[in-house]
Amino acid sequence: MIITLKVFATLRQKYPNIQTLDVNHESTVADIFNIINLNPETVSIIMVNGISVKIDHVLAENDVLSLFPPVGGG
Amino acid sequence: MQRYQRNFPAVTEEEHKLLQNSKICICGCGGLGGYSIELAARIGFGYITVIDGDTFDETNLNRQLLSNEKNIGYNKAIAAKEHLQLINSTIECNAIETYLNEDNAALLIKNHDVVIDALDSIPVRFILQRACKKEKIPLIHGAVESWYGQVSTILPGDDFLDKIYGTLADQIKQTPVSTISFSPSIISSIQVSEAVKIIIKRGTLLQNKLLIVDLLQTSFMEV
Repeated sequence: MIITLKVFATLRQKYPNIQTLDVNHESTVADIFNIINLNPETVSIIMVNGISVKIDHVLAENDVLSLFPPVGGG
Repeated sequence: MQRYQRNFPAVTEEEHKLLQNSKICICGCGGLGGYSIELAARIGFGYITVIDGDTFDETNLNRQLLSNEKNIGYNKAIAAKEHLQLINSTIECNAIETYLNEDNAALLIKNHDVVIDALDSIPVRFILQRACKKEKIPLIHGAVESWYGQVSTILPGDDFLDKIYGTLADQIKQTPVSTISFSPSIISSIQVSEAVKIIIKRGTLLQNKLLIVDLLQTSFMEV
């Protein structure tokens, strides 16, 4: 199935701002982290279709997964 | 009053009086805090508390408004107070040369009308959120890194930092981050505008929302 992955802030230094991924049906957010080799500790907000979810959330066809890193500098 | 003439009518005279009688506490006097202090003074806050235990070093010069070649090694809160006195000697400024911690946070922010989070430590931001909740004071969160920044207005009890950073906040390992001159200035501007709206009770707040700013792509997004 196809999903869209969007990353924000400093994650954009490592990944494209937006990309489509062809992943297995019923993949979780954690599976996507594995596929793109992303450490979950570097992500503070996970959203699917604009709604906050946890890392074990099961994705569906055409979902838009958005990942936000912790920004903490002052 | 002449000095505030150009604030009117964006701010009404009644609102100006509210600001003059309001107490803002700015926690952190570095990148974000330096700009917030400047803007809070110029918009007309009458009482400004500035808190920072840190001293300026050379790496601050690229972005921290209050730093300069002559005050390297100088306490940031004291530098902030001296700067405020140059802008407006009638502002009552309280400079506190200490770092916020679990023991002193509630005491230091007590009796303020609004608090600005201009800290650079995520765990200390949570200490500040707890203190603001305890003292029932609105907290304006801001953070920056590289070309990016974020702002949110946290009213007492919202605990919105929990959503921004997740529940593993104490485990987030922070190393010194890249920050460039314009990121703190834009985030601080939004923080101070939120603080003003809290005081004058007008406009729309970023409550239960996080505004994410990407200056590289020139995008502004609320989540």
